[in-house]
Amino acid sequence: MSDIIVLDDVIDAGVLVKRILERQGHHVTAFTDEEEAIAHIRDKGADLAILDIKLRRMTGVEVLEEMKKHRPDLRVIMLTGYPTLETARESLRLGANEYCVKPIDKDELESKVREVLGA
Amino acid sequence: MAFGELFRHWTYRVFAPGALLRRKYEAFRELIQQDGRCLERIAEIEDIHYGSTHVDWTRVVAQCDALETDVMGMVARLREMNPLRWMDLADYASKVAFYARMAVSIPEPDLAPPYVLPLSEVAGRPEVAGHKASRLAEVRQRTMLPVPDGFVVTASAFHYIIEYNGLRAPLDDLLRQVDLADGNSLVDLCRTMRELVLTVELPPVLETELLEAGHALSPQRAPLAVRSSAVAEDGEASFAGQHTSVLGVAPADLPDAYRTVLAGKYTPRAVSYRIIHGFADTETPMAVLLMPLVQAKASGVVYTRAPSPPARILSLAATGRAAKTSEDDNGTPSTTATPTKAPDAPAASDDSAAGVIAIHTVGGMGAPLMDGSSGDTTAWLSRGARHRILERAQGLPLTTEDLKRLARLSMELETLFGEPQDVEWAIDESGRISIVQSRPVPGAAVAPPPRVDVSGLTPLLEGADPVAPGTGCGTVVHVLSCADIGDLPPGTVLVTPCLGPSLARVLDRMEGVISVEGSRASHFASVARESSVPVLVTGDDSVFATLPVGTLVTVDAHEGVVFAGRPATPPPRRSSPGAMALRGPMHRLSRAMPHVARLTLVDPSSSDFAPANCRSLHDIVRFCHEMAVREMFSLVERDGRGLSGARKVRGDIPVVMYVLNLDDGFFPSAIGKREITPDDFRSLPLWAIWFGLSSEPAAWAALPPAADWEELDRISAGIFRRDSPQLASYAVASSTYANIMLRFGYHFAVIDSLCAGDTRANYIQFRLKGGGGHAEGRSLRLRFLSRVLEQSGFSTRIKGDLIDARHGPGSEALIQKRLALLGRVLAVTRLMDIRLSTEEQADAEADNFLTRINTPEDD
Repeated sequence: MSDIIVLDDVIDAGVLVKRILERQGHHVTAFTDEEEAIAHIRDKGADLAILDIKLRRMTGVEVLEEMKKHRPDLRVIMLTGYPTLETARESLRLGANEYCVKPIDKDELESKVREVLGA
Repeated sequence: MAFGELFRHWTYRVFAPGALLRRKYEAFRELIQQDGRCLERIAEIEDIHYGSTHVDWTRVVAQCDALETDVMGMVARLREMNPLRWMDLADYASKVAFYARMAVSIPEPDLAPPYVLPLSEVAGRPEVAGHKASRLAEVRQRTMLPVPDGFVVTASAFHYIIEYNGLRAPLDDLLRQVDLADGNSLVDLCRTMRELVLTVELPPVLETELLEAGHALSPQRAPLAVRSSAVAEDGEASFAGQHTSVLGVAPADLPDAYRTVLAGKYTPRAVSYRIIHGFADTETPMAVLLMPLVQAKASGVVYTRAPSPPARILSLAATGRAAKTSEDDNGTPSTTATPTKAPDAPAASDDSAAGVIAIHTVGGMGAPLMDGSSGDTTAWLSRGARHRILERAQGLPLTTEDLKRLARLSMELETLFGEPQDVEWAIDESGRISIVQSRPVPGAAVAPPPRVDVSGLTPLLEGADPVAPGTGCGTVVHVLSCADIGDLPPGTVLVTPCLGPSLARVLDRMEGVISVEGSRASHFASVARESSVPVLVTGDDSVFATLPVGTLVTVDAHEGVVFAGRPATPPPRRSSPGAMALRGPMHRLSRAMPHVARLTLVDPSSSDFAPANCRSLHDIVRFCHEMAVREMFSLVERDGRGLSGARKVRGDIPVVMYVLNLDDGFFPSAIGKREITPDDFRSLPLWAIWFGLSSEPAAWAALPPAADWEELDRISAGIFRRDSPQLASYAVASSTYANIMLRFGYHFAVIDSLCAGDTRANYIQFRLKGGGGHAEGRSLRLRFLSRVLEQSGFSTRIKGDLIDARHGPGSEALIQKRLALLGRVLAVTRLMDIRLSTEEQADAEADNFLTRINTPEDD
């Protein structure tokens, strides 16, 4: 199974995603702090990062850019409740595999993760 | 919402149930209207996707925007009907709408400088300078081939000018109105767009740079060539000849010539070609290439691997024989083949398999060759290292050495770009060759059309020159001038004096083209090969007499023959332009369809029928409609107050229908009954529809025993199912009005009718979309419906798998009669989408039905 990190400034949101994906057998680490998540990717890497866009100090798009500098092959799903065409285009340009909009239910999340990990 | 709305809802619930019902009914009515508009928009988007209509991308975006507005309106109306339920629907609707918007939106164009660049700086940058300029720059950079120097006004300059002059909105307004099926309107719209562009003010910084670069390129004020190099040109689609070039421009006149080339983006032919190939306007910005004009003695085109060369040429290449040439035979050209040694060809058959080089030439500038107004003189050469001359036409204004040099230079371009090239060249009086364009041979990637068995057909015309291979069958139409070609019916075989590039505008309606003049090197021939449209050149205007207008013919552009009639096995269907577009950038619409039109919520009785499972705008529409109907009827039934309550109808046909009495829709006999019969209907339109439904007992008798609900469910297309209010049909009725939602597969057939004493106000509106059968079956059912209804005085319109029909105004008696007919038609067509298999069958059944209902004993 895969190594996944989740970054969401709302801890419950991250934990919910973590629980859903752990039931699928993945190893999931949830972060609320951008720097910690970036450091984790830099030092240990992961198969997939699921990034919220509205964070505390940085945007998810900036986090994506930083993570890609350290791990260009990292697969990324952006997950936001505040979608805009600009952040969607920029995320895909920077190498995000998917741009998903909340609310996202369990089935949709599982299928997106499966698609991206299988790609 | 929410709090204010909830508060109002509770207040109404407690204090004013009548007002709540009125509000609920108003919201329901509005929701039903929005539902109708949504289905219409979805059907139009489906039509565009499947290639039935060809419109500009701005229209797709506008339809999706309008669809989103109506979908969000439906969500709001449903919330008004019951603010306490489906609290998450708005969030899911916004999410789906965002995905749809993301799929159809085009990125904002880049307006940033540089606006003028020397050719040396655009190699490998087609997004800045267009493929034409970028490739020539690459040739200059990587080879010693003779490409003149020049400069480029970039794609971002085009965007900047449009923005600077505030033209985006007016251009988009005009583009939204374009429908390629309406040629006259296209011509008018394009004229307006060109006028807008021809009168633009160039931003001062750009005009200065343009003039300075022009003077630097031509210090002696020698004339320049100002040529289109649009970003999409010579890329996925060739755009061959669709854009405009201006030759012989004095440096001081560059701004006007530049405007003219920009305006060339909006000729009817260029707009049609772009739309057919699925590009949005902003995706094909016009970069412009400026070079010194070559004072040409002769010019033309080299195909390093000629598309569909004549069989005799391939045979010469295969057998290692060559024609007599001026070099071989004291300058006397001939096409008589003589055996020669071919030392450059390791094996004759290898040479043939590799194809042949074609050099098409005209004296002077190449325009008459490219625009198809004249033929050319052609030389055919082998592709081997020494380029044997296989055949050369009389009058060719080139020496053998010129031909071989052109072949060598062109093959070097093929090596550079790694695929066969279409090379435009010019040669001046001193014998100096200039390469002015090199692009992949248009249509080379398209598989050659298969041959069709034409045995048994009578030839009407033989010996024509095939310039685009294939076989087509259609009806002859004459045009006397390519320039002002109007609309053509689908299935046309066009007889024309020349192969003008404007013919590309009606390419999707042509099964074949027979021209008096023209060359396989013309731009139109390239475009025809891309689309597998067969084209012949006769060289003789007697073709107009040989092939009279209206004759059904088969064009065999493998052999150069036109036959009378149609072969026993018709030619395979060409890829529709819609299908062509799906190969190109139109795949963007394919990506959008799952978020716009695909219906995944199909079973309203399933627990999956929920907002979280809505994947498309169509799903949201379906959900809102279904829930609104349930809400409207269930509440009235539950509370049993206001508007007299909804009653279940017990009739002589197995249709489960609930009727909500708006105003005097029932006779007093209905008072106190939980279930009513059609005899209780005072509503004239409702009674007439029910009468019609009941008048086709055979249609109902064909059903299995009523106890076998599974089977009934499977074959009834959902018109009646288990006795569940959620799965029934519904009507809202007053004495003179009815809105009837007859469950018909996954959708309702909706009938809305006013039938009163005032003839002028009376009408019937009918709509049906979808069904349980396959796409072909659904389309055949619509064909049946349209045929029957049209012959009964309705006007009908079919879009995708949706039919709209309207009748009226009319007298009360006439409207009742037509409603009864509609009821009968609905009874007999219920399962038709599953049963019908051919158009002939649909037409025959429609005619039989009309005959049957019009016989006196059946009345």
